[in-house]
Amino acid sequence: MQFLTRKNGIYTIATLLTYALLQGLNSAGLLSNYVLFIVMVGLTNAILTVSLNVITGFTGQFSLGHAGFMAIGAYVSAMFSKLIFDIGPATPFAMREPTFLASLLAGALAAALAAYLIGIPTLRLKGDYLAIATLGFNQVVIVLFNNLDFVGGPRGFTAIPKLTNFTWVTLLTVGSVLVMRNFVWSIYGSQCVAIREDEVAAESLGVNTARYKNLAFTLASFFAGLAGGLLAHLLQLAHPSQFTFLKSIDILLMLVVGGMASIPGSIIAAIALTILPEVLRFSQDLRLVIYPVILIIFVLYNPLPRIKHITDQVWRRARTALADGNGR
Amino acid sequence: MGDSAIPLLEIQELNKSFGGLQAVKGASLALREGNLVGLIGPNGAGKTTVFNLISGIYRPTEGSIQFCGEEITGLKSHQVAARGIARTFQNIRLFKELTVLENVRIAHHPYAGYSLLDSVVRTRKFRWGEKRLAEEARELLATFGLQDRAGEVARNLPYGEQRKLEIARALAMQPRLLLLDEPAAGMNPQEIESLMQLIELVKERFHLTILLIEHQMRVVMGICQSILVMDFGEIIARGSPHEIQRDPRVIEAYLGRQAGQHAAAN
Amino acid sequence: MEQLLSQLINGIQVGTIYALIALGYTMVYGIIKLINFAHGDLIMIGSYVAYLSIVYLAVPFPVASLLAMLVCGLGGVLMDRIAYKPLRNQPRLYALVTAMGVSLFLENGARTLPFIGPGFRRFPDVITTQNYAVTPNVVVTNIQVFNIVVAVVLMAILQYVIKRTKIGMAMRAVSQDSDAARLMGINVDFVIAVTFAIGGILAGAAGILMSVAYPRLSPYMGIVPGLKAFVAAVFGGIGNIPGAMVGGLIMGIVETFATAAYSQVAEGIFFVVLIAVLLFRPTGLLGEPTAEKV
Repeated sequence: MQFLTRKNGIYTIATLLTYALLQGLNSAGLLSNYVLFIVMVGLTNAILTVSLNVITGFTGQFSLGHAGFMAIGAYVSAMFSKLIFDIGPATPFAMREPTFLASLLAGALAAALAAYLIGIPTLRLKGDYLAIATLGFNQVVIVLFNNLDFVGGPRGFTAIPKLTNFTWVTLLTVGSVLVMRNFVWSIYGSQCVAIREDEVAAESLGVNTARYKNLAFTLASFFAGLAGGLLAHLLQLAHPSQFTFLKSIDILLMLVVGGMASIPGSIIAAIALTILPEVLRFSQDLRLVIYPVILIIFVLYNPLPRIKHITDQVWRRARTALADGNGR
Repeated sequence: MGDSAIPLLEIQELNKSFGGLQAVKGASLALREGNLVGLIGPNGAGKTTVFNLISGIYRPTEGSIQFCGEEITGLKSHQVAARGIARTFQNIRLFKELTVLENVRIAHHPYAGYSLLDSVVRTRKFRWGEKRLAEEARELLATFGLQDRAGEVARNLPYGEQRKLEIARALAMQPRLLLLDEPAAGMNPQEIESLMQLIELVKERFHLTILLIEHQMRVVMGICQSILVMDFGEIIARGSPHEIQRDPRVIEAYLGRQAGQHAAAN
Repeated sequence: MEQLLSQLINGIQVGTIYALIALGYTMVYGIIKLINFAHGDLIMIGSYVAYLSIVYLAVPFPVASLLAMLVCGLGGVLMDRIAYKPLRNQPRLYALVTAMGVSLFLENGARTLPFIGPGFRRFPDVITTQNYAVTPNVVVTNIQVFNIVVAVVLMAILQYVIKRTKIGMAMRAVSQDSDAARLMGINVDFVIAVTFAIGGILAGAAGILMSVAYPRLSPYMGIVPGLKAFVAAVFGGIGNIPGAMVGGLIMGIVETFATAAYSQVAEGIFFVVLIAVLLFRPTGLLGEPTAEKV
């Protein structure tokens, strides 16, 4: 199993270094828990954005209900960890971590199942009609959890054990992104891209568009559920208001800013747009105004592709220099 | 080369109505394996609709279609494609934002040889499969003279090359029947000449049966073994190019009643 | 039975408000294929403009209403000029993002203004409630009548403009094929601006009607009605003007009945109904299935 190309190698080392740095600084007391918290939230947003990218950027399906699957993942994983496994402060490490993973998995699978079932009828819709159907689904999920008293109803699901830590988030984010990336850059992902480009042509080439749309949708929702579970065990709370269509739109914003069908773009945009409101915190109320203005400017003047273009140039020059240096 | 007793493609009494408009009326045909048959007729005669019916984009209102003896009426597009029928489109439906190579590679998907799990975990099978996909796509491009453009984005190709690419993509499916919808549209005489040669070459090399819609009479008369003529949704004549050229009904369809009567009188 | 009638009237009242808002969404979508997420916030702006004029400038209600509608019309045009026009030739998703940005900007911007502020404001009682008994148990208020009548009149005016005036014809032409319209000498940018203006005016009117019927104002008051109206517009067939009217009305009626029946899950029922209808009419109630030429 060889995945160590030079580019992958650099990304891996960079990720490991960053992780080690942040974790180390935090343990040494030099980096506040709050900063680490923000980074963790940013990473879950990265999972959400990359997964939405699979549906919208790569397969061309306009989904406005991603947060709904996040909600399912959050609630189901919390149900497992709190009600079924009953993980608490007394649970020993050897019990705690595997059951945490199992809970996360349960949440993600529940989200995937929901996506599969919803997808069968809904993915027949196109464009804006699919958008409002998914939006409708999102709202239905919210109403559902608002009315289920055994998971807290309108008060939300509280006292969820705090099992998410920086290590888990990093590992799972890297893992999720890898899986989704490997899916996308394969003949299976290519068929999804074909659907985005021209559904009729794709069908005429033997691509079962209904099945692949559903596959992308289910896969992406699995990871949305995973992100939801991670977040629930970080905030120790799952509340319907966290998962409304406004959250779905937030994810869509990150996706667009990062660039459709660009996985690195999604990750960077997710983290940046999570950090940005915090950075603007000094301006208090005004930051709620500055944030959208920055967003609008970003879209109007499209700096990200320009930035990517510049970094591509730099990277190319560096590579040629390296190659020359190796006497090739 | 195959059992020529059973026709490769058979259509019986095919009807297709869109609301009040009857686009295809009582169409029947039998296509033998290895034939190159032309489908001609004035605009709006229903030719593309017949293609759409065969390839599963439309469901016939009445009638049936068999391919290799198997009933395929009402099957979805991708199911028809999987059985070995490939087609091109009147107004070129390439994957515009993808490269030339990617367009062909995607069509070759049934032959990738690795599973979803293989992709996710990036096994040796995956890398081997990807290598094969790319190689076979490039080979196909070479047949069409497009190998040097493999990395170019499809929408940047000159028009004639785009049409060729669409055919190459269809062939990547390794079909038995190829439906070409106006492949020569918009081409200049040299391009048409090279297209005619290409179609004949490809037919021999890949053992294809071809049904061809065309308005360019040079192509139709030049390479088709037999011709079907449609007008107002019905097949009004069938025969060799020679016979068709003299058929008064055909002349009438194209040139009007008087020309037809004139031809009949002679 | 009489309960049914009361609820029906309530539903129609709410429905006409949704219809007015939905019209703005559908007209803009029809002409430039954009879902203007900031449209709902024009409701809020209209309400506050009226509120401020009446409370601080002692402007009489009818004048305040007209002022509000005008400001909203202008607001619509500005939105287009600043945030959407530069992205006309880009993939639609970009304009969608700026639309959301504009929406956030308007909501949070209004919030920071001291005379609007984060809290709720109460719209003054400009119409003293009077009840009319249609039947012994079914009561209609004059506010409801006012609401419905005003909305219907506005919709009738809109229909007239669209069907019988030159600019209406230009709007219809541009929404069918903007390139062809341009070649016919139609100033497409101007027509688009007019469309935004009309949409804004209707949103402003909706804001006034809402404020009179439900006097609680907040910077975020446009979000939920905007969303529901958007859903109504798509439900009726996005881009289709009668569709928006019908969609809005049905939306209002279904919502009212759902709330009356089982208010906890009313919203859930509503969306389930929506999704169910879409599965049978994938392009909305009155939307034409766009037959793709293959």
